[in-house]
Amino acid sequence: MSKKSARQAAHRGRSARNIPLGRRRFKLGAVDIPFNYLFVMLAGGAILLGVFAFVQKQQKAFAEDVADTVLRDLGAITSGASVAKGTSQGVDIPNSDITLECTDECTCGMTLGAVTAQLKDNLVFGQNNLKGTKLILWAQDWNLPIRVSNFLFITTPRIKYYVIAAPNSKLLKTFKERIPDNIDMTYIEDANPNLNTGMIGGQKITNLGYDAVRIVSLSDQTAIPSGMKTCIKDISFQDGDVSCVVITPNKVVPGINNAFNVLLWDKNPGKMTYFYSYYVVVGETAALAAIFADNWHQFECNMRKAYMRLSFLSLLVSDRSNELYKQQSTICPSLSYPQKSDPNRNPPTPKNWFEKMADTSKALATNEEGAMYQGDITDSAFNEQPPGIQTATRNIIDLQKNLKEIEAKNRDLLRQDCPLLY
Amino acid sequence: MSKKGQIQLFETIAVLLVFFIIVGFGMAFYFYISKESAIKEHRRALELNAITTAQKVSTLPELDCIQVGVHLEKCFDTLKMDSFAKILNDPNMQAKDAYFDTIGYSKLKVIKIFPTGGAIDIYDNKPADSVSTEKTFLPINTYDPLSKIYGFAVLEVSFYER
Repeated sequence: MSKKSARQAAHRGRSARNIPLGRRRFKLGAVDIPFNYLFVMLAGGAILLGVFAFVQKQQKAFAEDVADTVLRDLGAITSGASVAKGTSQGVDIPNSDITLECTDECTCGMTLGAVTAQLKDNLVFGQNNLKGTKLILWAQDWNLPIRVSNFLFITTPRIKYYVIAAPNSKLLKTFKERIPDNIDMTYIEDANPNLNTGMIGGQKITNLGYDAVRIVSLSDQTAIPSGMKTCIKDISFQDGDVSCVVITPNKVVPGINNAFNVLLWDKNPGKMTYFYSYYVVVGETAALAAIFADNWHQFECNMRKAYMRLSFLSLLVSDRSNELYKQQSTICPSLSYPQKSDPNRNPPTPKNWFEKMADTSKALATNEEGAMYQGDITDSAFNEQPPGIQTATRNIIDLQKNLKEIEAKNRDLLRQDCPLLY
Repeated sequence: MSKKGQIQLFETIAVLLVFFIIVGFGMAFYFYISKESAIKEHRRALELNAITTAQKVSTLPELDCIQVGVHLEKCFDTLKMDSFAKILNDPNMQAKDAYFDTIGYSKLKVIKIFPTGGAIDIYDNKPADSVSTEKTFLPINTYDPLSKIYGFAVLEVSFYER
């Protein structure tokens, strides 16, 4: 800088300092433009932020809305399928990851994203994670022979079932005839399968990338073959979802062939070890439910609900039977209808079959032990009589006896062309 | 502040004001449309619930007719109707709670048309805060096992909206 220009700058500084503040004349135009830019940038930034937040919120709301719509429609389809017994249908859905779960209080629901739809009274049995664009729904009625409720089985083409039984197994034949073809089931005949090694029917079962694999072992004998007393431990299933179920007939009550022993093997999370749950169930449909149920908890929750329904249904049929009893002389003089018990009479009239059945099924629905026993897998424990199952087994036996008597009575009424009990 | 700067600032504020007014109108319109569609969706859900309930009730084993061991579609046994109503309305049995998942907040009424008239209220569970009712009608057969006579009736399902 030259001496002259330095002097001029010093003078400008002095003269500016000498002018009173209110009368100072700044070159504000030099500040105006950057200020405008700053203001526009701040306002623009705020608008962008607002728009971004709005879009985010809308995106979340839209995702929830879609999930809600899918679940509601699925709920309607589920209810529709539940009432249409015997039907199997494939339902196309948007690519979803649906979770089927029951809480500790047995409130079961389907969850998609952040939205959960309660299944309410629909008794749905299926794997916990249902992924993909297709669901397969299959409804079967739980007929004892009193029709109690419909069970809905739900699966996807990405879930694999291997059904193993000895050659010419009656149980395998029965199940094969009932299970529809659109469910991915592979039937393997093997008299001596080894689930421990995974060698079944001369082939080794490994994880082929299915979302879930269920090994179903069937035996016509009450005693479970030794090779079925475990679940598959192949290393390829380490990260996959694999579980096993063993079904054998329960022949405690002579003449009844629709009771089954069910053993569910659930994998301990993250490990290749299992724990088992042992049940006694009545009806082929209940045994089929064990094939489709993801775990013991889902199975038990639904079975408890079904037993509760049976309890109320029994009371209803008892009341109806009492009405028939009152009109007996005109409608069916040759046979007698079960009369409703009356504790106020002297002597009190005993409970009829239906009332007993109501008590038994209520006990099965509410009993803390349930119709099951759980334990660790050790052969010695497995061979012992499971202690917790004894009460439930007794109840099941009583239920079977009552059902047998009611069925016989109904047959007699049918022969005489009288109004039926149920 | 220079006049030019002031004008530029006013211009910016005016542009922003107009922008916000347009955004405001847009949002008001959007929320109006959203509200309308939410109301429609709610209505649809209510209708769907009413239909689902009617469908479920029409296939309940507690009401169905059985002829020679065969379950008849959309047919109610008259004795079962009476017994079901009795059980549901008996406070000691707590059946109303047990069937809440199936029937929910609704009213089930069977209006008999043939051979005799009359109506049976099977179930009524109206919540205290009910605001409206969605009704669904379903034609059904009835069967009286005592007289062995078939009849015709209408199942009226009133679904209470809260």
